[in-house]
Amino acid sequence: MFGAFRPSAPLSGGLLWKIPWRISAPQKLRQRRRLRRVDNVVAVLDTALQRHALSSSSQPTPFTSSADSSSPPSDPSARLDNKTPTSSIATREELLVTAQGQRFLQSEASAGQSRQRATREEAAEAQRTGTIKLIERWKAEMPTEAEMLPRDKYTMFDRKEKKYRKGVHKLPKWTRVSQRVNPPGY
Amino acid sequence: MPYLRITLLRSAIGLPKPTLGVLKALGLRKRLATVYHPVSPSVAGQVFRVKELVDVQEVEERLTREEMREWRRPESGFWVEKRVGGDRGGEGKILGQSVR
Repeated sequence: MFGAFRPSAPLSGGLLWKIPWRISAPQKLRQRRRLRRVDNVVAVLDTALQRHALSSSSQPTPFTSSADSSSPPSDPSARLDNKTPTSSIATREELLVTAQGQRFLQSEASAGQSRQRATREEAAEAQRTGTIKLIERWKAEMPTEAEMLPRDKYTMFDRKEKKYRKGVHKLPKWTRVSQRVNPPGY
Repeated sequence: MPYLRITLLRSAIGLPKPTLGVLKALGLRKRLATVYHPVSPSVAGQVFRVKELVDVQEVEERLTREEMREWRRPESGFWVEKRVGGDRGGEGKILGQSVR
């Protein structure tokens, strides 16, 4: 009953996760600071690259030319990636039967097109301002800490949870990964 | 020539292997290590991959290890105004270095 080997929950039950369901106020504070720190890193990279592009445009260096030549091959791979989500479990013919399926197909197609257009715009914007596509995409898609809702800062989507939300602190390595956006509608 | 001063603040232990590879490519071997890289799209992409782990600043000059050490060194907290019995009164010197 007592002593070092008493049958407590962690000893008798094997693996027991002891993550509280609720994130604490200091954890939230540190989470906000981490978000701001990442925002700051992206902003510093952005300004540094833009300044670098401005200064190197007057005296062209071999580096910018190599960057220009390397950017076009990266586009086809991005487009290939965009095609994959459209392949769903139900076939196209099955979906075309119902109105709901047709709406779904339409939304899928428009989403795919807009995504492709977005990547192309990001690449063009990156070339124009001298930054890289990754950063342009981040700026276009990711809200900054100030723009985020508290809901998105401290909780995240989970399909297995009641009401589809769980604390962001349940995410493995949550202090070192960026988890900002959730599926549309959730 | 502008440089990016990159300091590793968070370790990549337990993160996916490519993350460790990026840190190795940047020359960051342990926490609080600082490296300087010229501003370029490729370096920016590398830093972007590990943006949650590092602190970045754009600086004009790259400092050597010794210079960074001197820059970090806190002020001694005292200065000698006048030596007792010394022939050079008023001029403060400690260990051959002039101090304020």
